[in-house]
Order: sequence, then C-alpha cells, then structure tokens
Amino acid sequence: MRLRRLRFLWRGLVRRRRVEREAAEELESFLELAAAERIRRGEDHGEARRAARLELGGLEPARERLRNERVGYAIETLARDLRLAVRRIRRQPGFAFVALVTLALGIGANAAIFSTVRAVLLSPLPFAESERLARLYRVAVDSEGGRRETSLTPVFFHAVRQRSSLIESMAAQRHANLTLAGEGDPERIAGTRVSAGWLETLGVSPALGRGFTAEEQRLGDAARVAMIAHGLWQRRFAGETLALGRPLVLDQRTYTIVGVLPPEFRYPYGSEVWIPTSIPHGASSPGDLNTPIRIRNGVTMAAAARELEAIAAEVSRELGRDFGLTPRPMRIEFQRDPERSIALLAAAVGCVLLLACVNLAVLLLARGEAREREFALRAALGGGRTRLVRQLLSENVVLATAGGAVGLGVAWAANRWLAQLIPSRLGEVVEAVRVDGGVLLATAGLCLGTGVAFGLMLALRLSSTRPSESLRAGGRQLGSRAHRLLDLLVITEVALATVLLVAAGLIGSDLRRQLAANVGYDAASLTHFQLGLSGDRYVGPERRALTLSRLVERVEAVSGVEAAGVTTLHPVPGRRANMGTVVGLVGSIDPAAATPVANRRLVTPGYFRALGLTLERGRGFDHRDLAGGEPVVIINRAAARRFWRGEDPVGRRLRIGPPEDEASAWHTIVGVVSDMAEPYAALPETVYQSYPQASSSLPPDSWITTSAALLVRTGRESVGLIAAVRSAAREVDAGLPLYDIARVDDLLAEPHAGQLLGARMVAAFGLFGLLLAALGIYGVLACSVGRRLPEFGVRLALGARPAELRRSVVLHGLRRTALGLAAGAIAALAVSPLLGRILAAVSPRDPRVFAVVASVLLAVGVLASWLPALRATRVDPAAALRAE
Amino acid sequence: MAKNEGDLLQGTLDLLLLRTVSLEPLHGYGALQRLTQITRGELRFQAGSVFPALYRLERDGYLESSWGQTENKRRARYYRLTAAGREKLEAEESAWRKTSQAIARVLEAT
Repeated sequence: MRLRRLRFLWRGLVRRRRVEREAAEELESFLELAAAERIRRGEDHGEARRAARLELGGLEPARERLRNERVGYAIETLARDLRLAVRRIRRQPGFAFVALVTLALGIGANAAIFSTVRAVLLSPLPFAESERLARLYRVAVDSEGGRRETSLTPVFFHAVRQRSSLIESMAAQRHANLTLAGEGDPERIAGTRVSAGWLETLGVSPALGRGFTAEEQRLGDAARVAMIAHGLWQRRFAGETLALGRPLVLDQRTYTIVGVLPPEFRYPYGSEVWIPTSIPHGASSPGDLNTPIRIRNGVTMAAAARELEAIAAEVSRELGRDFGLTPRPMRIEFQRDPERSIALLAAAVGCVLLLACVNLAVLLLARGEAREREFALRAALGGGRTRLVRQLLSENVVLATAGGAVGLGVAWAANRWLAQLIPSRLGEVVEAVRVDGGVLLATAGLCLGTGVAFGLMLALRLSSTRPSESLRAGGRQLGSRAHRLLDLLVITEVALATVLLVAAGLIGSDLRRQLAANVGYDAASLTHFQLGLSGDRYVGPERRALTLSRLVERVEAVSGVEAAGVTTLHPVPGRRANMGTVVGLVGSIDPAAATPVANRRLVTPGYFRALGLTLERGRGFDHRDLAGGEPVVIINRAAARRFWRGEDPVGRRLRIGPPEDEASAWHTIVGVVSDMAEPYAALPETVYQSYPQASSSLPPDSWITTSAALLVRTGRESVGLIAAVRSAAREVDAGLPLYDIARVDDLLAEPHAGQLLGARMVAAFGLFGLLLAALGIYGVLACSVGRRLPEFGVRLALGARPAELRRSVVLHGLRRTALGLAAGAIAALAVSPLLGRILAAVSPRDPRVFAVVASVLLAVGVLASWLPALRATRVDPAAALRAE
Repeated sequence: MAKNEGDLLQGTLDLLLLRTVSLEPLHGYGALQRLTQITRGELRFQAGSVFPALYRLERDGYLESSWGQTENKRRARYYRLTAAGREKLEAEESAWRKTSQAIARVLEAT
C-alpha cells in the first residue's frame, strides 16, 4: 500500500505533465461520451456539448478538483505559493526590511544575550561538589565598629584547622607574581603557593601528572616542584606529555613540572602555576592566606558559619583583638549568584520578545490594511478562500523563515561579540559561550508563532470581507476597530520600551554610583602599570630607586601626563591586599588600640599628586628624603585620628616594626595626607615612606620593595598613553617588564563584574526595545500615510503647505509616543518596588532617569515619524487625485 | 439529490463505485451511467466528484486502470477491481448492511 502511494507521489511530482495530460484526456473523453449520448438522444451538437460540460460541472473546475486529489499536488502548490510569496515580498522592500530587523532582534539578539548571561551564571564551577566549598574570610572590626573582610593569618588558619569539626578539609593559597624565563620572552605570570590538601579541598585532579606529595608540601618552595595551568602547558610546551619532568624557570629558580591542571582551570583568578608551601604555626603575619574550605557532607553553610564564629571568638580572646570568621560560598565568590540576575534577565528578555511580537503584529496589520483592496479584487475574481488564506500564510511563512535565518545569524554573531563583554573576572571559567539551543528555539518559536498567528488572523479577516464593499469604498474598510488596535499596539510598544529604558538607566546609574563610591582618590584618568622589579637585574635598592625615579621623570615628560608616582601595593581588587605592619609609637596613643598596626606603603614624591590625595598638614616627600637622609614618614588622616587623637602628629616620631625590635629607626612624621579607601586591607590607617629612603633600609628582596606600581594621571583620555609609557620605560631600562596595565576605574569595577555584566545586558535590551519601538512607530505611520496619500494629494492641490502636512504627520506619531511614554512611566513606577530591591545606590523613582528616558523616546518618536512625513509631502497631487 | 458530498455520502460513493466496477471494467462515464441506471435515477452524483473518487480508489489500491477503447473507438480510461478492492467491497457491504439494519430497528422501535 505504501509503495503504491509512493509510486503515485513519484508520478505526481515527476511525471506531472503526463498525469495532467492523461487527466485532461480522461475528462475530455467523458465529455465526448456524454455529448455523444445526448446527440444519440436527439439533442443538438452544440447543446449536447454544453450540457455535457454542465453535467461535469465545468471542465476547469473538474480538472481542478482532480488536481486537488493528486498525490503531491499539495507540495506543488506549496512550492508555487512560496515562489509567489517571495516575489511579492520583494515588491515591498520596506516592510520586509522592518519585519526582518524585528525578527533579527527579537530572536537573535534575545537568544544571544540570554545564552551569554545564562552560560556565565549557570556555568558549573570547576570543582567537585562545589556547593560544599566556600572561601573563608577573616573579619577585622575597626574602632568604629565597621567590619572589613580580609584574608587569614596563619594563626587563624591553624586554629580553624585544629578546632573545627564541621570542615572536612581546608587549604591556604598565597599569591605570587613570578617571572617565567626560558625559551621565548620572559613572561610575568601570576602564581599561587598552595598548602597541603589544596587539590583535595577543591575537588580537582590534575589532567596530567600528579599533585604534590606530603614531603614536597613540607619542604615548600625548596622542593622546587610546580604544577602548571593547561593554557601555559599549551603555550610553552606545545601540549606534549613529555612536559612532565621538564624544568620551569621562575624568578631565576628552576622548578620541575610534576602536573598539569585541567583546561580552563585558573583558580585563583589568573593563576598559571602552583607551587607547594607550608604554613608555619604561630606566625601572626603575613595575613594573606586565601583559604578555601570544604564543609562536611550534610552540614549546612549556616552551621559551619556558627562554628567558625565561635572559633573566631576564642582566637580573638587569645589575641586580644576582635576578629570574626565568615565563610562565603564559592558560588558567590565566583559571582554566579543566579537567582536575582536571572529573574531580571528573564523579565528583560520577556519585554523585548513582547515588543518584537507586538511589532510584527503591527506591521502585519498595517500592511494587511493596505492590501485589502488587492485581496478584495482577487476574491471577486474567483480565488477560493482557502487559496487566498494559503497565499497570505505562505508570505508570512517565507518572511518567518527568512527572519528566523537572520535571527540565527544575528544570534551567532552577537554571541561572539557579547562574549567579549563578559568582564574577564567572570570569564575565567566560561571559555566558550555557545548560543543556547533551547533559548533560540523558544524565542524563534514565539516570534515566528506570532507572525504566523497574526498573519492567519489577518488572512481570515481579509478573505471574508465582501469584495464588493471593499472595492466600492476604495479599500479603506478594515474597520475602525483595527485602527484602534493598531494604535493600541504601538502605544504598548512605546510603553514597553520605556520600561526597559528606565530599568537600564536606573541600573546603569546605580552601578556608576557604586563604583564611584568614595575611594578617596580620583580613579578616572588614572592608569596603572605594574612593574616587575624582582630578580637579578634589580638586586640593589639603589638600583631600584634609581630606575624608579628615572622612570617617573621620563613619564612625567610625556605630553598629556599631569602627574606620575610609584607606590608599592596600590589597592586594586583581586590583587594582593595590604597587610598591616606593626608600628611602634611614641606620644599619646588611643589606649584601646592594643598593638598599633597600619598599612605601609613606599611611594615616590609625585604619588600623592597623581592620586589626587590632599596634603592636610606638613609637607610631602621631596629631594631631601633619600637614602641616608633623616628618616621620615607621612601618615594618613585615619592614622592621625587614631594614634594622635586631637594632637598635631607632625613632628612626632614612630618606629616601624615590632616594638621589641630595638634596631629599627625612629621616623619623624612630616605630613598628614587624606584617606584613601583600602577595601581589601584590614585597616584604614596607612603609613607612607619615601621609596628611595625606605628601600635601602629593608632587606633587598623584600616583597614590599619589589612589588611596585606606576600610577599615571592624564588630563583626558590619553589614547597613546600606554605606548608612550612603554617607550619611556624602554629608554630607562629596556628589560623592565610592565604588566597589569589597566585603567584604575576598570580595575575597581572588577569585583562588580557580575553587576557590570547585568547592567550592560539590560542596557542592550533597552537599546533593542528602543529600536523596535521606533520601527513600530515608523511602520504604523508609513502605512497610515500610504493610505492617506490621496487625501494629502488633495490637500496639497488645494494649497496646503508641505510644512503643515509634515507637522500633522509628525504630531500624529508624537502623540502616540507620548501616550506610550506616559503608560510606560506609570508601569515603571508600578514595578519600582521590584527594581528597588536590586538597586543599592539609586532610588527606583529617580526623576533624572525618567527625564532622560522621556526626552530620548520623544526624540526617537519624532525621528521615526520624519520619513513618513516626508513621504506625505512628496505626493504628486495630480497623480493622487487621479487614483482617487 | 445530494448537492454537496459530506463524508457519509463520499464513503457511499466509493462503495457504489466499487460495486459497479466489480461487475465489469468501466470508464468514468460508464460508471456514472451504470449508477444512474441501477438506481433508476434515484441517486444522482455530480460527474465532477466521480473522477476524484476513482482516482482516490486507484491511489489506495482498490482499483487499477488502463487505457482502452470504447465501442466508438474513443480512448478512455477503464477501471477494474483489484483483489484488495474485492475484499474492501465485501467489508464495506457487510458494514453497510449492519448499519442499515440497525437504523431500521430504531425506526421500527419508535
């Protein structure tokens, strides 16, 4: 049976002409036979023939009915319909363009954005059972009760390790910047020193080779072994298995590679090499241990947090200073906190999708109205209703398919572009963001479904109007109900766009407010260059100091540079935090401060000016403060307030180092400078020393002197700054590596990477919404103008001024825009409680944002109305009158 | 006289066509004539619906066709019953009889 049908199908499609011929012959033979019978009965020839045809019901209709039965006919008509549809669409390029853009944005952009953010938010962490992982923070409570989160000291590390029963395993990490030498250029890479149990705690196994043995962990750096990242393995060792056992030269020391970690694993952020280390007991500093912990199976994070607080209380008692311990789930550490962001994202996607669908509906309705006459004609000429509906539908299907294809292309292209927008902090694990098939399907389905549904609705309505009515009245009878529907749709579009833009505006300004939140110095137009001053090249402190002062001199000579200064440890998120140095003081001290501790920084004279810190008392560093000169320090306001309450600290003395250390020199305070936020340090108090002076008194390879950053302030966005600074550095010392080059405000924004991504995406949505709304306004007005062309022609002929006509059209569009704007504003205010929950620094009813959005939308409304308005005035009055 | 063929009537047409063709191979006009003849003019079918029905029956394998010559030496397509067609005819006939008996019973009961 199936075979038979297939054979018929084959015949129907391939042997079409023959089948048609035979069918014609068969019907023809019927006619002859019927006529012959009639003639035999005595009828006239002509009469007989006619009667026979009537009996058949007309030759053509009979042929048509037979054709309809033919297997494969449906396919043939479909093919023909599609071809016709394509031709018809090409004759309406404007409409087609707008429809395609709508689909491209609605499907493609939406799917791309959604996939990107979802990939970031839901991407799995590179650890096993990551819900049990957290990062442990030590909380320092300052004198005003403010809490600051910072890394652990060895005391706390061991205390937790010994006393916790809820923690299954824990490890410590320490950041290290290292110079990698060997074949190829020397590179400055980020490394991590890890304590025993690190791989087990994180739940990671090396992709190649092994982790560190207990003995190697005990020896620490002296074991001279290392694990390397997958990327490094590919880059430097071409991914050969033989890389295991090969030497790796870091900071002039040779390590043996024992393992390669899995691809895309670079935890902590950016780390490419891992070296074993051990954490000595009893040391109270340095407090730079990044501590991942894994809690036991079945234990909640809250329970672990309570236990940790208890341990912290014990240790605080022993230390005599108040500290807390708090775990932060690794998911949040990695800023994959999906709930809030996904909800927001889904809402935005929904809005844009709705907009796109409404836009499509508007387009189809408006377009359909214009073609009512055409369809009335076709109906009157005998096109069956099914046929008409099918034709209209095929047009929509063609548009939908083309739009879907365009949407796919847009999704793919936007995807690659969007991947760049992912703040690098978040992209550490997400290497390849693919367009989510499911999302694409859903958005495509929605958009195309709308298009087809509205097309069908339109087709049914058009094919059911009485042809005579439509033809008679000049084809304007789609009904006032449809007009009102169109208006309503456009107003809805504008309202949706308003809501999106308001949300985008609020989130954007909220983020900006948070980022600018007082860091105490001017982060804009400040560029950061990390200098690699370690290794044999810069052994002597004099050498380093000289290099730095010459560098600063050269850089300040670069045009556009206002000031430049060097500092050790500029507080940049994610990098090493300041660790407090104990300070011995003379003079009145706040009795509550048991052991005065402050941050220590070595700076060059131009530093304060470069950062925009103000000198409140005394003087800055100058040419007097060199090696061998009188030891001086500058302190910040917080230190002055804390350690010399109510007194002028200038002229007082302090000693840097533990009080027991008698050998350390007494420094005189020569100035007080304003405060700078130290978000990643435990302390607000800072002591500044002059780099040339201090570095000579410190051990030669002390990290504090080798980790130096150059900060350059420029007048405006200085495009060639980086190149200029590089060449200045080359002049001073050709081998000085510059790395971690970034704008300081970008660096400060890094921890807000998740919010930044969200804000950027919402802004993108707002833009799409605006575009779609503009298209909608344009589409409706274009069709309305097109419909009223005869009217405009008459008015022009009667002497109306073109400017007036233009104005009336633009006002028409503007009125719709204003209505939509009002509706949108009300909607935005209605959802402001929801928005308020995600905004931190800005009110959800911020009038400034609303004002900006309103003006943008009105401007866009005018623009979108402009083209149709022009068209209205370009009418040739005579031609218009004739058509009427 | 049925003006438009509903499903019921169409199925009936199929059955009747199968029956008439079962007696001897017929072309479209002949089948129509035979039907009118046998029903003594009670049932008239539109010629325009006979040909699609014949095509369908052939497509579904109950009939097969071949070109032949009429008495007047005209070319016409003749349809004859296949084995499957014969089975179908018997099945449809018994189904029809059952249905009409059931209807008769209902009518007699009320």
